[in-house]
Amino acid sequence: MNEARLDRTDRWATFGAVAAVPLAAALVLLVLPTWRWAQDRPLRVALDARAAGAEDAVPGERVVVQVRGAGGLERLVDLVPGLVGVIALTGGAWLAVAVLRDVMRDRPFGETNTRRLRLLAGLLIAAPVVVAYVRMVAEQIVLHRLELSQVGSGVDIPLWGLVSGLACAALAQAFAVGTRLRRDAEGLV
Amino acid sequence: MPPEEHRVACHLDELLEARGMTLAALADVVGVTVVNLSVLKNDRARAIRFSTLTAICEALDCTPGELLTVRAP
Repeated sequence: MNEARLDRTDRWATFGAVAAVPLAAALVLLVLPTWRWAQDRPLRVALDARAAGAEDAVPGERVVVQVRGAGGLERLVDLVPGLVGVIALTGGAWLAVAVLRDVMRDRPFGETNTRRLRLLAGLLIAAPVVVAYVRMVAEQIVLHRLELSQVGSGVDIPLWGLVSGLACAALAQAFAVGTRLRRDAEGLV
Repeated sequence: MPPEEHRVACHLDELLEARGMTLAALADVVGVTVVNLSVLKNDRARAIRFSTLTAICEALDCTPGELLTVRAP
């Protein structure tokens, strides 16, 4: 018997922790803004501080502008970057859970998991870039419609996506090698 | 990927019969599971460790050539 094997509690805790990421993101990026909209609170637009005119701001620093009187379209457009992010996180969490499930069943190495990890690596690298550009476009649309076009907005692409994506790609390559080794060992007596 | 084709035939069945030995008894002697010996006996093995080959040959008092042969194509 393998004493290091994860029991049911460990499995549910792991899956719960992974599932909590997109759920928390959905709460912060979609539910809370919608709730603020329902309460008719000002629209909060997070802008790149330097693009908005704060010359002494450090790169990546953001300022939150509260806009009163925003209409339904502005509110909807403001939700789009969050929606894209939540979809990407949900996809990533689904892939991670699928890989973890096979790892917990002692069947980690296979073409499917290698493919899943490569997909996850691509998602980790591409999603932050896509979300950043979608956010910039959404901010521009919102600011233009609110006649605040003089306030600039910038693209802030976090490096964590690139770093974690490359680490995941390396892991996928290790899984590809593991799959070949497993195939070699099958049928060995 | 389909398993690689091979023409190696295992004569474990005949050797066991000639010595009046069962697969389970051989498994006990050589320290290999019955499942793995069954895989070997039914020509479903794709590779054999030298240590397994040595143990089987010692237990059955035979040579590797008597245990394994290559079928004609």
